Amino acid sequence: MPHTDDESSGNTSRPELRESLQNAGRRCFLGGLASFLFAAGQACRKAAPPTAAVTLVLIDQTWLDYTFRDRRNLELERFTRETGIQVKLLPAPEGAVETLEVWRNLLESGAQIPDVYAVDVIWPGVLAENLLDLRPFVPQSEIASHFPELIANNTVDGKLAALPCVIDVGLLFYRTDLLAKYGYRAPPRTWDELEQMAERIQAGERARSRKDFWGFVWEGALSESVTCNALEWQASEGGGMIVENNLVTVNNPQAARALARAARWVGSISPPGVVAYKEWDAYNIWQAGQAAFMRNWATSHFGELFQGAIPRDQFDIAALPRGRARNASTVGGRAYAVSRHSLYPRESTMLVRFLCRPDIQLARIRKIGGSPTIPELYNDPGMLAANPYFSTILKTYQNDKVWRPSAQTGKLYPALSRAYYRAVHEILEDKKPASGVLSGLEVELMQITGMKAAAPGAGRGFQGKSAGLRAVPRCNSGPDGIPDKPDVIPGGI
Amino acid sequence: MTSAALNVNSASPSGPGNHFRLGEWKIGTLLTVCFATIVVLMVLGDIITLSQFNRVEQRASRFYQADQKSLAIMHVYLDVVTFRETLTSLAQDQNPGEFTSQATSLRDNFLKDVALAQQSLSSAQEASQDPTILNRVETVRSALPPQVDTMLELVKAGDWQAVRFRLAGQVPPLIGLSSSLVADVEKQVGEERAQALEGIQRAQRQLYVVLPLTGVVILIMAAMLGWYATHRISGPLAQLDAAAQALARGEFEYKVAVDGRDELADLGRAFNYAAEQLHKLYDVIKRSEAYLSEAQRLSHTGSFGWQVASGSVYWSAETFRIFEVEPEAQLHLDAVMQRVHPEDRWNVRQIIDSAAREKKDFDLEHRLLMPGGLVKHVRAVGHPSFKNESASLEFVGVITDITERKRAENALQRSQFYIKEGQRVARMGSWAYDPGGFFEYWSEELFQIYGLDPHKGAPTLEQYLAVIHPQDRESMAEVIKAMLLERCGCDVKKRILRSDGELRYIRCVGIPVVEADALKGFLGTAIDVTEQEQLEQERERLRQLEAELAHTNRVSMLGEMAASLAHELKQPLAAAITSANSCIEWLAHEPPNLERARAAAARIDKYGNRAAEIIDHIRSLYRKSPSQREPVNVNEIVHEIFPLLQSEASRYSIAMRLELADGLPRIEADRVQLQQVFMNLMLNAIEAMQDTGGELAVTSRLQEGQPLFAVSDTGMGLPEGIADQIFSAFFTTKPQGSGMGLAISRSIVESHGGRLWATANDGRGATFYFTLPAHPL
Repeated sequence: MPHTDDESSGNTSRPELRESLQNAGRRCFLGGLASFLFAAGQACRKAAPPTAAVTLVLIDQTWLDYTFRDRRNLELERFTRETGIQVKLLPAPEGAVETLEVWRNLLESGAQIPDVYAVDVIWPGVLAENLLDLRPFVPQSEIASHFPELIANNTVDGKLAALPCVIDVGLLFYRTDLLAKYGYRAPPRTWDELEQMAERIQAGERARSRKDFWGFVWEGALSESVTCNALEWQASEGGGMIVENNLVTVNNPQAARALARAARWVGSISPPGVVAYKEWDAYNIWQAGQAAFMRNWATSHFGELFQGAIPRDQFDIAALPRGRARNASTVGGRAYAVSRHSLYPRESTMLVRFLCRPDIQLARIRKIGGSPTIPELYNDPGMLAANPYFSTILKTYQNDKVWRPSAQTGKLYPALSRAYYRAVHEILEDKKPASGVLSGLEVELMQITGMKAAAPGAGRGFQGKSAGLRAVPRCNSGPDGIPDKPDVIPGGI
Repeated sequence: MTSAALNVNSASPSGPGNHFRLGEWKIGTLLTVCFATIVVLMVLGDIITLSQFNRVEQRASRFYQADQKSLAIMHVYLDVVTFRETLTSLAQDQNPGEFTSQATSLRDNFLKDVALAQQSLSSAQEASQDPTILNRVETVRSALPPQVDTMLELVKAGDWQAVRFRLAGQVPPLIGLSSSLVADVEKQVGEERAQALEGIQRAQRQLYVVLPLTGVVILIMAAMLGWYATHRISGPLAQLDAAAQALARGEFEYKVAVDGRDELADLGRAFNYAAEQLHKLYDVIKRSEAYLSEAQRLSHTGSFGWQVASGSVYWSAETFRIFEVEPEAQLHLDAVMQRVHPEDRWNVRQIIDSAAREKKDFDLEHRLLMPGGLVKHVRAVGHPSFKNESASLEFVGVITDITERKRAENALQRSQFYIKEGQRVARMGSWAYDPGGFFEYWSEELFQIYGLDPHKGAPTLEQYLAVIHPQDRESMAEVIKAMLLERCGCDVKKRILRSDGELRYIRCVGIPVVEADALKGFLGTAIDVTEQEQLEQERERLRQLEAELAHTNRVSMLGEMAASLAHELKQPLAAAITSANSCIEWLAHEPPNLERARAAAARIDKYGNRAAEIIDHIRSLYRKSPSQREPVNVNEIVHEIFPLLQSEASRYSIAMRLELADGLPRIEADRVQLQQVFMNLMLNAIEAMQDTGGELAVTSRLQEGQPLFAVSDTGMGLPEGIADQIFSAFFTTKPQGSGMGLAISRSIVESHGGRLWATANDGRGATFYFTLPAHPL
């Protein structure tokens, strides 16, 4: 990409310079003194920007992932081949919180570049006002081909702010070899099972002088990751979706129980440092073979998994264990949006449509995992055959997905999520009593959202598919969960 | 000047068409405006120059900024690398305190550097700058602190393993990103540098074009303004100048065409008026001067004035012509002196200086040396003029070219000198005689010849005759009388008796000068021929002496041969007597044999004649007759002499032999003298052999067209070493010899143009040879 850009600028600037010099020379000799000076001044000035091929700038989250980056470079090259439009890729910080901050700075400062932004599933509400409405540029049929809930998630005040390109969910990674070694035939179905298995395996492995071996690693760092994890724990226990039906649902026994259990893991089956783990830390431990179980994203590590330290036949993935209420898996995923300030909205929209196109999605998922945003593709037999983990992922999405309440809370979601993961982190790290913390959190969330708290126990009635949440008007009121997404790892495509 | 004059000349026929283009402005105003404009132009040029320099400076600062960018981003990169390496090493040590403080300080340092980088990158936001660079820097900036936070969290939790994994796995991409940034920025900066450099170079090139061009344009405009102003002033001035020159040349008709209202136009009008007045005045002067000049020209006389104090010299036109100097307003005496011939210079200077000192007239002649080497003679006459006595003494005078006169004088002097010298060498004088009876002219040499004093002038006729030898005086008087009477010339030789007693022979030749039938006088020459005369007389005396000597020689020879001659005579006489006896007998014969008697008588006659012949020969030798030259056959002479010597030879038993060549040419000679030569040589030979006997041979032959005669003997030969002395007079080896024989013989032969010499024979004796030039008959 960079080299093509160089060529184009080189090609255009040189003849132009020559032309301007010629002009200067011509005027110099034709005119008198005054016109000579004018011409000399003109010649010194830099020529206007070239009008040749358009170069778009794309900013994406997953630049630290080599596999993903290589794949996307191929896609962008293909896009350039098809359209003649050049694309430059910008990197992004690791964490979702930091990334969002960058995105907001760029968009709210009116920067003309980047043209195209990768938008996490929880961000449309935050960024929508500086994003272009894609509806005029994208045929209705194309919009309709995506999952309606995703389109809904990306539609803010009737404006289609982003076009979805990948769905992500939380999964349980486990070591088949170790499970077999300790006599387990299947992955744990409940959190309790997981706890027991992890404890046993950990003890067994440590007895084999693997002092740094842990049973279960997950993302406990003070970040959006905690929101995603805690939502899964809370929801699986029937503790609600944080904000549900315009009510704050955090302060209930189910949620408290779920969080207290997680707090118990810290230092027992999970390392004490897990409260500082982001997705990459968990993955680092896992990949080093130092953990029996890991919670992570479906799209995260397939690239790494294929080339990682752990042989493919020694691990597998499964849906996250269920609590007392259900299996819950936080929905992640990514869409692509066009900056309102872009100089090339038409070309940018072309790029967005290209990245979200069925064949591109298909080709991408075949190589590096993730889930299509187009239901049609789930009928493609080739796709299922290509990715051995895909069926698990699809099943998890279809059955267990829970949404973070970003759609309901819109711009308020970051503050809401921050309050939530801080509270959870207190429970995890400082071992504070969950119920006390949650009651404080409830008050805080009510202040942030202006919503009322749900009656204790109200969370249990959740069960409904997240699609239903979509009907709730967003803005300041509607609670809806969109999972925070870890920066680096959960690269979409 | 010249072109201006030409302009005026070409314009003058058109008269008023030639005018000042002065417009409405006065010249002062015009000049002020011009200078003000030039100042403005220079200020403009300065502004342009400064702006150009400013442009170059801007380019340079961009160059510097580019470097700043590169440096700043490099710092960021190094921060990240240091971050990872330091923390990795600390993670091994597992010292939470150290790790935390280092990580925090590294992060702060990093943030500071990133801020600097962002500042320098965004401060020089270029159109060409890769727009993603700032974004990427921002990404790096926002990516590292969370890493630190995360790691610090992990450290706090004591999870060094996770820290190490993170340092190994998640920081490298940051390093990669930073290094890609460094590379991109470096590339970018390289381009910017190149652009800045190109900008600088372009600005410099423009500087090189703009500055000189500005300078040139300003110079040209200033020059044009200057030219215009100058033209407006110099044009009229040139016309005024031309007019003034015309005036100086005397072209008073010339008018400056006046147009406009400025100062120069006023000047022009004033000038025209002045010229008109001058014209009138000048006409008067010119006329009188023309006369004077013409007079000077005709007389080759120029006038001059010389101011002694200043040395200034004023000349008339003719003086300039004489000195061949281009007429010039100011002359200085020193310059004039340069023309004076170097040999005369000092002299001239002396004279005029002394004249100036004493305030007296001077009159001198001297030479001038012209540049081409030509020499002129001039006469300068000066008279001190005391117009204003006090200060300046001035000489006025005339210079006359007297070269022609001098040349004529010189030529005359030279020819007179030649004549005089010629006369002296030839001892010849010239004279002119007036019919009135007195000498008009005597040349100097003539005075010398006659021993008279030139200073007393030509002598009177009486004085002249008094010098003449008394014996010739009368005849000379007769000659003069006859000349006057018959108007004829003369050619006489006379003797004079000079007052110093010396006798001289003078040949005097004169011719009458007749003009229109009237005798104007005589002129002629007188040549001192004394030496020739004396020589002639001496020669005559010598001839006589020789003849005497030769006669004496002959007589003495005959005396020596008397016995032989008697014998010689006796033979024919005896034969004649015998024949006479026979005749008598034959007549007495019975019958008288007349036939035989006649024969005998004939014989008597013959012998008698023979004897007479001999006597004649002897007589001729005795005779003292003047030299008579006639063509002679020398062989005959030998035959005549031969018998005379035969008896003498036989007396001493000497055989004589003749070998005479036939066909010898006749020779113009004196027969008797040649006989004497042969006799001398043959007697000489006989004497040489008289004691011994021998052979005497006389031969003749023709050699190289000349008859060569030789008389050789077999006698005692020539005395050793003195072969040639034998021909000297009074030289003899014989007791009885007079010593004159051979000397006389040689004298005779040489007087006939021949030569006589002697050589010793190979065997014995000597041979005497002589040649005689063949006389062409």
